[in-house]
Amino acid sequence: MKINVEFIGAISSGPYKKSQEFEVKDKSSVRDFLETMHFDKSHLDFIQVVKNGKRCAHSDGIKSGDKLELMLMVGGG
Amino acid sequence: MLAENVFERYEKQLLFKPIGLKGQHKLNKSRVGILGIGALGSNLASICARSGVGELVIVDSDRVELSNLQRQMLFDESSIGCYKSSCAAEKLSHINSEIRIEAFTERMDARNFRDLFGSCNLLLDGTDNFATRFILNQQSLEHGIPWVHSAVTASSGQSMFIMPRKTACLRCLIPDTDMLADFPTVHNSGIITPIVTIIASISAASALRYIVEKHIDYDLKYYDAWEHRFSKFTVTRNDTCPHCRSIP
Repeated sequence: MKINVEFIGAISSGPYKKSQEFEVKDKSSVRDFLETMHFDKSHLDFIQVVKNGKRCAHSDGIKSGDKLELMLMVGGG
Repeated sequence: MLAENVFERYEKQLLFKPIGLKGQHKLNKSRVGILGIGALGSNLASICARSGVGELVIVDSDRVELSNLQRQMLFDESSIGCYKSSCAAEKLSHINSEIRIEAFTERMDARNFRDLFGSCNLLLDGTDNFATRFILNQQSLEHGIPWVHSAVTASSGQSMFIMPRKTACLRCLIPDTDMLADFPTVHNSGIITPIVTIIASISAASALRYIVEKHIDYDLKYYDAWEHRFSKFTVTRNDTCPHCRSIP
């Protein structure tokens, strides 16, 4: 299935475009998807995910056509 | 008591109807603690002092360095080498001599939290690392003191109001903190000056509104100053949050 993903702010889009379509396996959770990406494993818990306009938990499932916005919480001050 | 010149000093703020004279009284009677008086903290403190928050408690153990001046608005070249807390207190007293400022050159931890901040109505996050923020989070929950989380790195930052027992807390958002040492901060990812003032202003606005209206904001606000991208989303409490579960 295909989903749309947008990388916002401090989160690195790595080799991808800032906004891009991704192919993911059926029955994937948000966390499953994040773990397939290029992110530093130590940063995964700091990634906030907004799915179709609402914040969701990493344990939430993904459906075809979902739109994810990914934001990395920053730590400086 | 408001000073005699309140109408002149706060003339334009008094014209803002949600504040007005009644709100100005509430600001004047409030006691706000600011943990960390660096980039975010000095902006937060400046806004609070100018707005007429009656008592400010500022805590920071560091000294001012040349590399701070790019973004830490209360300091200038004459401040280099001075303790940030005492230097900031002096600058703030020149901005508003009618408020009370208490400055402590200390590191906050679980043992001294109550002495430093126990009598505050609201706390503001000017820290530069998540390890300290999680202490602040747990202590503010235990003492029932609301606080406003702020953080900035590179061109991005976030702000979130945290009301114990009502809103999500910082630990509701970030469940696993084993990897804090590797997290990107201004020390390894840099920072641009505008994001500091933007996030501090967003957090200060939440603080003023809480003091004046007891308004509780349930949204996390995230802004990227380079892309001019603003995101806001509601955060709900996490039933398994260890910090929220630790309070009665």
